[in-house]
Amino acid sequence: MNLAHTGGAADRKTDRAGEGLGRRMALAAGVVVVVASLATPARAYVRYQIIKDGQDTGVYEQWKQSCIPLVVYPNDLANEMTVDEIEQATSAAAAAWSNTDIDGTYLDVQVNASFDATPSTGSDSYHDIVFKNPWCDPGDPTCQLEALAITSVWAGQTSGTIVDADIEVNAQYAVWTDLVAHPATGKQDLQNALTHEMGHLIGLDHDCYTPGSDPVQMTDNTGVLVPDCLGASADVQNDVMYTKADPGDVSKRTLKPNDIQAVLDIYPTSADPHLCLAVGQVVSLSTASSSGCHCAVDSSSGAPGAGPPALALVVALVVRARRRRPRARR
Amino acid sequence: MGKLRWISVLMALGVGVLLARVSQASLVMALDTTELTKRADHIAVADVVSVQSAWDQAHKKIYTTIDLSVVESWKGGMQPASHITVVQPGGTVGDIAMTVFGMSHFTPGERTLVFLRGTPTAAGVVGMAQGKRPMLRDAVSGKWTVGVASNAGLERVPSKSISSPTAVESARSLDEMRGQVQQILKAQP
Repeated sequence: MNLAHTGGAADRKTDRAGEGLGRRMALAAGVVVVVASLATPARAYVRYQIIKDGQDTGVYEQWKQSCIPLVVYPNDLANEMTVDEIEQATSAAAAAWSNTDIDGTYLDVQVNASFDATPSTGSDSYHDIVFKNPWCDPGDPTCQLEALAITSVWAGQTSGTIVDADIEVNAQYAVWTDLVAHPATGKQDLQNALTHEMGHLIGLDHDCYTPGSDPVQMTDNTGVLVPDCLGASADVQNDVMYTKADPGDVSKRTLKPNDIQAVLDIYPTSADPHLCLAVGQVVSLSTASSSGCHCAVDSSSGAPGAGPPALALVVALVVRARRRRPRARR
Repeated sequence: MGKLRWISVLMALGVGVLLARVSQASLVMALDTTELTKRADHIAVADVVSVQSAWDQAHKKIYTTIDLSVVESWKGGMQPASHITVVQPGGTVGDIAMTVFGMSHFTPGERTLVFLRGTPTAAGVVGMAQGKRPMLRDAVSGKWTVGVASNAGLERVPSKSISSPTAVESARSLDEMRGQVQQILKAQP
C-alpha cells in the first residue's frame, strides 16, 4: 500500500508536472498563434505606378538622382509656428526618408529654407514646400477648398523618372503645430503630415485600397494584392503610408518597417547614381532610364527637356552637394 | 479546460490588438453625404463623355477637363443630356504625367454620381475624390449601385465645424442614395 501510496503520490507529482508542461505548451502554442496572426511574411509597400487608360503600365515613379533638394518657404506659416519649428518639422520629415536616418539607402532628401516671397508651384525644376494663405480662390473650379495639403509629382510616363514635385500646405483653413512640443486638439502636426506627403514625393502610394472605387487594385512589392483599407491589418495601418491617421496623430513621424523597406529596395546604396543636383536643376527625361541613372540635366526653368550634355557631365561629378540657401528665383 | 482557457485568452488578446486602431484621417476634410450635398452647387448622375489634359498657359501645371453628360440632376437644375465641364489639376500630356494625390479619376464611358462646385461650364469636384462616387450596374437586375468614394491618394481629417463621417460610407442603391440626398436638400433652409 505504501508503495502503492508512494507510487500514487509519485503519479500525482508526475501528473502535476505533466499538467504544468501541458499548460506551458498551451501557452507557447497560444503565443505562437497570436504572433503568427500579427506577423507578416514579408515587408510590404506599394509604389506609385503609372496608369494609362485605366491599366497598369508596370512603370513605377522614382527619382533617378541621389539627392532631392527641396525648398521650404516658412514665412507664410510664421504666425502659427516659429521658423525654427517649421524648419525642424520639414527637415525631420525629410531625414526620415533619407540616408541620415536609414542605413542602406543613398536617398538624401534635403531641405533648404528660403525667405523669399512664396512662389507659385508647378513644373519648374524647383521642388517646393509652400504654405498658402489664402489657400486658393473659392471661385476657381480647380481650387481644392477642403484639402489641407496637396502633393503633386511630375514624372515621365515611359521611364517613371520623377522630375519635379511640390507640396502645398493649407495655411488658411488648417492650424498647424508641433503636437509633441505643444499638445492641442483641433490642430494638425506638421511633421506628421509632411512625413506622409514626402512618402508620396519619393514615389510611394498608399498601402491599401478602397474596393469598388479604385480603378485598379494595386499589388505590393511582393506581388500580393493590397488589402482593403477598412479591414487592413494593424501592420498595414501602422505604416506611414496608410491612408488615414487618428486625430492628433504623431505616429507617422516615424517610419515603420514596411516604409523603411520601401526606401531600401527602391533607393539602395548599391544603386547610388552619385548624382546630386543643385536647387533648380533636374534630370532630363530624354536620357533617364528605369534601370539606372544615365542622367542628363536640365537647368532651365519650365518643363523638363533635354539638358546640355556638357552640363550633365559637370553636374554628375557633384556628389552630395552641401545644403545651402537657394538663390533668388523667378 | 485550462489549456483552452489560456489559448482563448491569448487569441482574444491577439484579435483585440488587430481591431484596436480606429481609422480616422489626415489631409483633406472628411465630408459625409450631408456635407457634400450642402457644399455642392450641382449634384448629378452623369456619364463621362471625354477626358482631356493640357498644360496651362505658363506650362507649369497640367489640368484635366472632363466632359460629363447629365443623366439625372439632383441639385442645380441641369436638364438630362445637358453637359457639365469639370476641370481639375493633374493629368498626362505626351510623356509627362502630373499626379495630384487624392484627385478623382474619370474614365470615358463610366457612369458616376458627382458633387460639384461651380458652374456647368467650369466645375470642380467637392472634397477631392470624396465628391465622385463610382456607379455599378447589376447585370441581372439592371439596377445601379452607388459605390464608396475613392480615398486613393488622400487622407481625410474629421472637422469639428462640419458634419464629418467617422468611417467611409458604404455602397448603396441609386434609389436609396437619391432619397438620402433629397431628404438632405429638403432639410436645408
